[in-house]
Amino acid sequence: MNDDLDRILCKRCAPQTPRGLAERIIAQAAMRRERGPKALVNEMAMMFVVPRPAFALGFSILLGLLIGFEAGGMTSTVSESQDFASFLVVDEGGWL
Amino acid sequence: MANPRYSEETDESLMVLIQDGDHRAFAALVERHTDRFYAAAYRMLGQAGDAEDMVQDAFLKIWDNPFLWREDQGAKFTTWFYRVVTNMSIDRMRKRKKAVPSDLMELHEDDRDLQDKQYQDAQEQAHLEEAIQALPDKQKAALNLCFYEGVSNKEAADMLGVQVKALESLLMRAKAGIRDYLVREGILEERERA
Repeated sequence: MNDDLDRILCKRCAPQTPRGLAERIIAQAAMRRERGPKALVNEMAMMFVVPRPAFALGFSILLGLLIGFEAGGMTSTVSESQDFASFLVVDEGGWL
Repeated sequence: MANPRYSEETDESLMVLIQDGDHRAFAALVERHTDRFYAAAYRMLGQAGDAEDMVQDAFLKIWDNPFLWREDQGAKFTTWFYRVVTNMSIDRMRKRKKAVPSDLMELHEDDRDLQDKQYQDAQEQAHLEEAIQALPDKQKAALNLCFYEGVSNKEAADMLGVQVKALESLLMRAKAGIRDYLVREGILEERERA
């Protein structure tokens, strides 16, 4: 009779864990991580955090160089004297 | 997904990291043990919703008070956490008082169109679950820990705060209780005749 009982006990179903239970627990813990004004300050500071600074810096340099090369043809060399003169002389179009 | 760096750490090392506020260590520990402790809670409580809430509460208790686990006491994390889950389950069952029919009981009501053998198995499972849920709390805890969770008698005795002899007695009474219940329901007699 005991064997029979043990056989029935062994057949007891293993319960299926609800989907996403671990993720929900982890998320709950993250929300509880910090409380109070310190949490707010940290959250604001987190807005300025660059996730991968090395990648961000490299990408910015590359982008800067590319834009620099692209825009190179549009820039004209203007001497400093000409530049200053344009402030001193008003070109009225010669109609007076 | 668990961070590979943490997946190689032992439970006890993760607990030390959690004590330093490391959330990724906590995530690794939760991912590693949710299934096992959900099963333990479900077997104790017999209800999916209750088991889910309880496991969540138990893990969040670790996160809120990681120093409840003491490294210097040399307790294995799983042994200690089984104790936490078992005690929380017993508290919850005491509050609940009246035995709530287990989720498995709904199985045989809904599955009448299953073939005879499957139906018989489902019915047997449902009666077994009912018999286990009807046991006194400590007997149920002893049975679940020793029979289903593979915890040694000594560890289970420690968890339940009893002597090993007393634990063995709890186990014997639990089995006797289940056997009586199943005989009353005609499950064991039917099996003997067959």
